[in-house]
Amino acid sequence: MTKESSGEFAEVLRQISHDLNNPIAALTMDLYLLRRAGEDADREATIANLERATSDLRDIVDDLERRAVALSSGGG
Amino acid sequence: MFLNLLLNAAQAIEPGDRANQSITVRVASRDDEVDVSITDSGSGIAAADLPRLFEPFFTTKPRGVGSGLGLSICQRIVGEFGGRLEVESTLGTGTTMTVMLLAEEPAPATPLPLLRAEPSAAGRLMVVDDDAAVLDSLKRLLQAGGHEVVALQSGEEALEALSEDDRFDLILTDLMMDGMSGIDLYEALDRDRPALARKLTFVSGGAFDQDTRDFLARVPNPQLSKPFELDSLLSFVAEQLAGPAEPPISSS
Repeated sequence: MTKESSGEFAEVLRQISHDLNNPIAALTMDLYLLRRAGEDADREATIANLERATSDLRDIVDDLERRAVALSSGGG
Repeated sequence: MFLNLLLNAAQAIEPGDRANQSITVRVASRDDEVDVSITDSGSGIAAADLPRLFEPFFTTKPRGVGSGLGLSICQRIVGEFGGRLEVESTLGTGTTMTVMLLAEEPAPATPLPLLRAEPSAAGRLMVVDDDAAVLDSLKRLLQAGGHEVVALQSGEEALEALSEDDRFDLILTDLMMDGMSGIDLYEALDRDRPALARKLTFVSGGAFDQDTRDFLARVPNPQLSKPFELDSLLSFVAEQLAGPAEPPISSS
């Protein structure tokens, strides 16, 4: 890997980890709320947000898979 | 101890006639006591032997089968727990040994506290994050911690809201946002309203580029990383609200 391409790769990894951290943070907080806040928590809103964060994660992984397929077919 | 009683029960039963033999274990609780009884359908104990049953080295078992220490040890163990060991037996019908123990008062089931903070620690917070799920979670988490929360999805919205109402104790902002980033928000505030800029705490999913690292090294504002250790998030907020100007009163 050239110095330039490893720099680009690092940038891609940085972006991916940032993107993954968002839904993981939401999942972490919502699970905490469900466990710790008990009846004080708005369960429905918390569960709806858990679903949203899970769906975000799925989109990120789908996107990564599409890119991987495009790279491997494009690269021959 | 229970094993010893069960073995005694088993040894009291003559081999054979399986259909009519049994060992029954019952657990009952009443008032402040828990009773565990072990009943066998064995040979029973002669009434004359009952008073001596708990004496060391007294045994009704054949020579070589038991030392005669089992029940005296059982009784001592139960006694050390503040309980009693009682026996009822009918020769030829079987024996019931009952362990009576003091019941422990169950600890009241209290929900885990979300935040060990006094009511006075509640604050008015602004949260800025372009990720809707994170924004929503943060908002509800901080609300559950007793805080008033205004949640906004971009740096631009935050800046506009602050121009109309700046009565916030703390502003938690994401660093990497499309459009106006957390850094842009800081610089805009620092230029026009430096007191507000000092209320910013930067929240981010880590993995900073060099410019962001340089920025964070330059400014005094605190940072939190996602995903959070939530106890530390809440205690961080509580600490910030307590403020450096008012050191915590020593609790000596």
